Amino acid sequence: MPGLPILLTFLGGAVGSALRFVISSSADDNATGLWIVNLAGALVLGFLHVSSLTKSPRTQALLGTGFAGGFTTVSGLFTFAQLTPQGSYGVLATQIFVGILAYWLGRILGGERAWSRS
Amino acid sequence: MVEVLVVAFFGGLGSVARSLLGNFKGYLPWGILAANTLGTAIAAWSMLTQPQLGLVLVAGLAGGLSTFSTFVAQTWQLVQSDRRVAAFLNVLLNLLLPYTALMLVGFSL
Repeated sequence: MPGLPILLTFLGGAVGSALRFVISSSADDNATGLWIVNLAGALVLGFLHVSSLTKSPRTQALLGTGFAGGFTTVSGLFTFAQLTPQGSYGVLATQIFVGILAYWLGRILGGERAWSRS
Repeated sequence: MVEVLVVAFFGGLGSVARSLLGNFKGYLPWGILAANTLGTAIAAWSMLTQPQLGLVLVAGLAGGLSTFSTFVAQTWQLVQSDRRVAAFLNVLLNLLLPYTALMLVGFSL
């Protein structure tokens, strides 16, 4: 079924986006919400990219491209930095650095050796 | 509840658009760079001109279109494959292009 990956990405992206909205609406401030969704999403994606449980293309479409992709946001980081009173580009830059570490940690939790070459 | 469903629907659409754009890769993952730039432009335009469409355009479409997780994953993969210049450029352009798009939207209003 050629349209299935698209449908799975839609479903995962819908759930991820809804969850991001709920978390950012209930977080104490914009920065806290962005930290939670982006670091958790990066960690989840790292796990998905490595774990033997999640390697199938369908799981990657549903949970990787869909859920983790829709859950995390870059547009939110930039509009936070530029268009909100408490916004800062420091948060944005720091998140990229910490986000790469979170993705790496996700890979290790997924079963990869810390210093292996991929 | 209706709010969450609106965000979900448009977030799903944005995610599908991103997955199609994501196929464009070469020296850099250009498709995700484009998705992040476009998503930031859409979110900024909506926040500045159509705040009543925030659920549809900001939380939904732009949020689903742009992605942090795939961006950091691709950067990590470039570092791991010893393509450090490309990794550096990927971070730099994912900062510069969305920023420029946001500024252009702001200045054009």
